[in-house]
Amino acid sequence: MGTPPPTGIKQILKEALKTKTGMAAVIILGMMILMSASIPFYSPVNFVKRWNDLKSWYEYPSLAAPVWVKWFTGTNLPETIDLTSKHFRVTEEEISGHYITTYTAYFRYTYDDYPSELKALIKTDIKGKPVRLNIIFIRPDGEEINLFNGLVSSGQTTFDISLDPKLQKNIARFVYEKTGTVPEVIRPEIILFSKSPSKYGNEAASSNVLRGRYIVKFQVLSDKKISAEPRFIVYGKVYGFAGTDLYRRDLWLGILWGAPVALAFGTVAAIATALLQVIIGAAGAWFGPKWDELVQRIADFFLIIPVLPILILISVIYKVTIWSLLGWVIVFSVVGVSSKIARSITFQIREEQYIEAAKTYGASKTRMLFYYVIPRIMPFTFALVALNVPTYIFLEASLSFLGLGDPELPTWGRILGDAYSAGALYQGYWWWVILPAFMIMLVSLGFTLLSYAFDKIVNPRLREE
Amino acid sequence: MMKKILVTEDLVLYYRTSRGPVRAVDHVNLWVEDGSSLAVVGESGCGKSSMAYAILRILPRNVHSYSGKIIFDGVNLMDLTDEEMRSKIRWRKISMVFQGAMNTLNPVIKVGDQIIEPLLIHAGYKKEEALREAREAVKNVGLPEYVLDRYPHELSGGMKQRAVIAMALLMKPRLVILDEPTSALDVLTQANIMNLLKDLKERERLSYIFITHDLALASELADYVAVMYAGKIAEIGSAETIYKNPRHPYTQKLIGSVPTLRSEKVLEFIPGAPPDLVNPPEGCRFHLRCPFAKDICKRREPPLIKVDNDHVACWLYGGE
Repeated sequence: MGTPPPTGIKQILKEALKTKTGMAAVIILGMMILMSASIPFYSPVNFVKRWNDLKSWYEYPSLAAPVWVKWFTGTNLPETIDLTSKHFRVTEEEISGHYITTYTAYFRYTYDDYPSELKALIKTDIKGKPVRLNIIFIRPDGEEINLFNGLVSSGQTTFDISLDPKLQKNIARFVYEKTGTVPEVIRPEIILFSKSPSKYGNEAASSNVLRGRYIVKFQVLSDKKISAEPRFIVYGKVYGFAGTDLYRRDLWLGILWGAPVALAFGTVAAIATALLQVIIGAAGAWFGPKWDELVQRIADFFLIIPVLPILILISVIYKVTIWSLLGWVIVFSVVGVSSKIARSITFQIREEQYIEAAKTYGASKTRMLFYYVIPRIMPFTFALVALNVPTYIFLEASLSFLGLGDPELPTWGRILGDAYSAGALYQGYWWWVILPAFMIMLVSLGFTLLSYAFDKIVNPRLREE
Repeated sequence: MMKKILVTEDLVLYYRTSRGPVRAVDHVNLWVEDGSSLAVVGESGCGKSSMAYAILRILPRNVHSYSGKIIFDGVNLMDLTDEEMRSKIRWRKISMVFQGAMNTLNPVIKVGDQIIEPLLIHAGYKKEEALREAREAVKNVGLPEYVLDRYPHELSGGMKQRAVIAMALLMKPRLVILDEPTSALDVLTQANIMNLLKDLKERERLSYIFITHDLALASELADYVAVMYAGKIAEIGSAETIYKNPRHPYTQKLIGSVPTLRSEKVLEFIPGAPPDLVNPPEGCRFHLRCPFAKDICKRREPPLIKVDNDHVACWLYGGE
């Protein structure tokens, strides 16, 4: 006879760590937990709100690939250059009672590809009359393009250079002056960064990118002294570790946030359902055949009803949050497979001598159930719990994917759902799909390995001697 | 004569099976004198353990009938409700040491936590107080204190048995039912435990019902011996007479089958097998295997007949 299977929870965990699968599982899950724990250090408190507030992501590039793509493709893909007010040098001139305030900033552009988008912003605190603003873009080859010349009023004004037709007209004029033709499609981010005028409007040829020192000037003409905060953003094509989505959101933050959500949802659902199933299954078997019959028939019923369609129905009818979803999942799994396991083990334990002894010294039936019977069943459900966690993570991801999950929290399923509805895979935005999918797979793998490790320890037939 | 602490009168416990009722305990009359020990001996399946369970009213689901009187210290236990039995009698007055100590301790609970269970349940002790008592109790049975922090599988068989005995004595009961307390133990450990039991009996003024199939072992501890056969008492008397001068033919054969170390002796055995308790033979249940069977033995059951100070259920000793 080998050593008896360990019975205490601590012992089981200790033994699990000794196996290779257990080690791997602990490393994977430890990583996930570290990821979750690290969130407070770099994510804003109101992250969930921010994730859903698409306006707040304006400084991020849209659909940028992960930074590390550069290392594989060998092209130096542009990163975002964000010229904030502190990059601008201020000079003031007074000409016959008018003030000309000039904000000048420069940046070096050395990338192999065009930026994805350009944006100029200005925030002024003038009262009353609007002021005249002149935005000038000076290329390394000395070409000067007047992007905007007009009036701006108080507050924040955004110039969407890549999309604004008024600004595009100015750029088209520049092209016309150079080549004598007007391009059919005006892509300012390409035109402004192209070497050869003949290729204006032609996106290809990254060799055509004009590298060097670019200057951006904001000139404000007003009749009294004002202060303004200009900003110029040259959006890149790569961003962060995981890239961004269509709505400019940093996917890495979303993926990080998905980890605690998935872990919490999966483990809470798996542990709660296992506990409930074991307690109810054991109680049924313990308190007599009538209860047993009742519990087992309900368990049969719950085993055959398809939970996913029902949950879909529920989330269509009611507004679900992740916690109410968790509640529904638990409601539909109060009895199930673990109840059946618990039942059969209870029958075995019921005949044990120590139960007889407990009866003699007067332990009540409930005490015996909770103190003697259920602790003996728990180790058998360990592996099942670990195996069930990914099931519930998948369930949540499926619902989120279908747009029926929690509408607020960023979850992996929801990121995938967004990617799907934006046609990410057809458009080639692979990072939007692969990373969240990989995370779901990784966490499933972690828990599956953990369950194998537990199984080896708890199941005597699989024990390695 | 000493006070009788426990008397059973016409104690009946039949189990219901698909073949019909099993007469495990069939109109058993016996008694235990205060401060003495009664050994109940008999073959496997003769109803010894069932009788113990009947006294404590720990009944399985399939009870067919359960009747008679169990008078403990002047109170008929049959008149008590289940709750009274649970809270007043079991463990407080009568406790039990079960067959096979290995299995009496729950493998997932530490020995200490297990031993204090009766105190927590019955006496409403706090855990710390109960553990203090338990420390005393294990010392009392000659175990080191650290066993309280061990799990049962970390203890040897003898240690487990001692722990179980400590548990049985925790509430200072008057009567302890020992159901084969030393089966599955090696001879030396057996002797050890027997000495402990003897010692405890003196110290705590206990009475024992000692259930065993091992006649030699019973002689160690018993003041009185009751021989059971097929759910009935065959003979009950002082250890002296049972071992030296057995009256019932079954007892004679039983004693004859015990091997001895020194004297040359042909071991006896009893031809045939114990009767089926679903359909016991009419008359004396032993008559089919009895060398002295008379006509009456086949027709009528013998009552317990008093011979000197002992009782024997055999037509050879009078009656009609």
